[in-house]
Amino acid sequence: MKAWFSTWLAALLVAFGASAPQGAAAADQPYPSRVVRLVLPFPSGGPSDLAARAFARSLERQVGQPVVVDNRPGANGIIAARLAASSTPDGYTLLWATSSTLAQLRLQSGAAAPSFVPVTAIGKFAFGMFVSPAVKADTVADFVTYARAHPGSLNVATSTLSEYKAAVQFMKATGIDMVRVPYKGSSQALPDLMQDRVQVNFLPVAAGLQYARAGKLKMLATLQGKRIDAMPDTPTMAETGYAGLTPPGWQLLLAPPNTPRALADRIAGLAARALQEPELRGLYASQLLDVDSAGPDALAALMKDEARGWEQFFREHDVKDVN
Amino acid sequence: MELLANLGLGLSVALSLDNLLYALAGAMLGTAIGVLPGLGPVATISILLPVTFGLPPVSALIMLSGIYYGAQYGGSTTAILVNLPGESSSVVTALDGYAMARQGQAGKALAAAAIASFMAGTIATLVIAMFGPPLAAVALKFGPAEYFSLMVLGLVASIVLAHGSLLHAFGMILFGLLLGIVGTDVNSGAERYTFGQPWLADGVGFVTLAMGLYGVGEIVRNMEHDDRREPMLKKVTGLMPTWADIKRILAPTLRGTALGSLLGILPGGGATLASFSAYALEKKVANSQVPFGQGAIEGVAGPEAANNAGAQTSFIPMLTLGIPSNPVMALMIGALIIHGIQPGPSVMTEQPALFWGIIASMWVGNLFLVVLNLPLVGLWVRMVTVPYHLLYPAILVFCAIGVYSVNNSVWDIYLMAGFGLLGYVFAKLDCEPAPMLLGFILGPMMEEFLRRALLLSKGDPGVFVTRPISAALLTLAVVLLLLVLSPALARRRAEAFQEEQ
Repeated sequence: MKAWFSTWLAALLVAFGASAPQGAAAADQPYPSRVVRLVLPFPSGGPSDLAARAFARSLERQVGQPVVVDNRPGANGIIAARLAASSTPDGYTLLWATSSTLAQLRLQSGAAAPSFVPVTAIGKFAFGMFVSPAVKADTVADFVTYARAHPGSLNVATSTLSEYKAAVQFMKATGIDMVRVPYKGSSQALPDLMQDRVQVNFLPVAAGLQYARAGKLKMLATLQGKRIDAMPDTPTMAETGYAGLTPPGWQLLLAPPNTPRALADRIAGLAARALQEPELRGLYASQLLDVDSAGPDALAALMKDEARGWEQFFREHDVKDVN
Repeated sequence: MELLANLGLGLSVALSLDNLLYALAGAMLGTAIGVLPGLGPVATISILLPVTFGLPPVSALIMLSGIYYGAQYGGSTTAILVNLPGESSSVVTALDGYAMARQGQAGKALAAAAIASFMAGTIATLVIAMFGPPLAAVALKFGPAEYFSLMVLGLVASIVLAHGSLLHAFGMILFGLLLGIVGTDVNSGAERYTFGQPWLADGVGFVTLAMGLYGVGEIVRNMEHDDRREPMLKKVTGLMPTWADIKRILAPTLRGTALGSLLGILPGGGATLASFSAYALEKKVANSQVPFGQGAIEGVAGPEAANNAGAQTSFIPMLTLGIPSNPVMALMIGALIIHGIQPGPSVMTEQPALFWGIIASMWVGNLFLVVLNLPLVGLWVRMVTVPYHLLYPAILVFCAIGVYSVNNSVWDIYLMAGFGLLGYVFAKLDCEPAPMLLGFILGPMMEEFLRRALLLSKGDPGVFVTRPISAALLTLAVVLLLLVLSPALARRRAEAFQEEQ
């Protein structure tokens, strides 16, 4: 009782902007000496929100201070990103970002996008290729044959930039043509997929797995580098012979621009310890979130890679703005 | 008999002392927070979600469901007492409920809402227990074409909501449709009418609009009479409904329950339509002593029953398919996942105690709400006797907190203030906000489903008439439109309009 009460008191304080005393006195104290705010570009309840909230709880135990999740949904993450970018780089405001958040920033602001200081990667949600149970194909090869026989008549659902990218890359790798049907989220796309109104959707495995197990969807492949334990008989996309699909789904922890390197390292260390907690590991495993706690340097390289990939994707497919 | 065994299992879970307490706590918390203007169930549940993380999954869900019903019920309370609908479903409750309150019958309206909700809740619980899984299959049959036609029907029905000039109603619906366009287009990602402002990129929030038009607008309007510092009413009559009143609300309640149960199962907008269509239905069929819009008790009972039944059947797609039909259900899915349970087709077989426990607790929760709220009616009613100079600042503060809590955005508060001025202008021009709100809610969904249906049909508009459910809904819409536009009806509307003058 006491723990959550103090968390909520802290949340109220953050919400109303009454932060604890700052300045010289605080600078002498070891980090963190007060509430840490984790800005999240999603509303509460979704997979990334769950991952972030569970992480916040583990981090709390590591730092001994409340870590408050501040949901700032909207504009595909731009609102949260701008808020975090303009916060004081003192480690008390952090941003939880995903591949799509960073891609959206790049799409909107180009080179002027704020350069967040990488802290740590959290991990990656496994992605899979799910098709409607009515599609007469049990393998990716069958599906491609089927799609070639019905050019332009198949629909592919997409709800995020990441799903869009996977769909476009798949069409490019296989040379098939499908109609892209945009959705606001997989809760809208899944009923249409189960009823064969759309035929395929590349989405996080955690969102589609239970339907595949119940026979309401077919999972033809995973986009990861290796097979996933939950579906050991489902091949990877590379095994099926189609290369060139980059698995999306990164979850990252970033600090506002100009955060000192030493501070970023300190937070990365605390985060890495939090990511070791068995309870957190268990939840992430059940959500098929592969933990990868790459520290500041590795994450910087990773983000550069991702940025290049997205820029190339935007250029090649003339993407101005989607979803 | 399997049904009885299942319900027995459910009751054994729901009636355990712990779970009874969580249901009670949820209903109380929900009512308390729901009564504050602007704080609807979504805001309430997202604030309280982490509190439930430490509970066993069934208890967490039971408590969250209690908050959900409680907040919804509390929302109707503010709609009736101070004309402040905290969410779309209570917009129509405000129409006749507030009219009743102004006549000193707030207690009667509140009690009617509570009784109608409880009856609807009881029936809906049985509906879910008996037909849950088959109904979920029906919900899946609704594709983009069917949803589009349903929205068209809803929009036509919204004309019936207005009781002033037909032209004003049309104008307000169109204005609502235009406001709904603001934001990012799903298909192209293009921003429309956002003026490059990121806080408009997701469009205008319903709570912002409703709190502005109703809450702030009403206050500005009342400020005109600056010499009147008195409470709205000095005398409150009719605290409890008479036996005759209960007989009058019985049929509307049953009709509302049927409509709400059906529309509630449709993910994506079905439940929103429930209370609106129940009101439209009552206005057509109920033989009310008082004209609708001037305090007809049927206009409170029908929509409240529909709203509560719909709230309950909206659990069906979540529990049986794992598909959230509204933001509250999405939060509940999150709560289950935190506990290691993936809601979906397997929940009913793998977690029967959870599934049936939640269903049984719906009824328990509804019972608590009635038991809690009927004695509280007297207390709530005293709220309208609070002097303006105390009541209005309090309402403004709570509206601001409520609007802020949706997106944690200060801009929404400024936007609300702007809509408040607009609400004042509308009141001066004799334009009712209710049709506008329905246009605002339905417009964007209609557009989305229209474009998706056409994408899926490769541009063939024939899908809307070749698919049987869609064709039936469109036919109904045409018939309703003809009824509304028929000269005889127009004459009757004119008469009704003159009566008001």
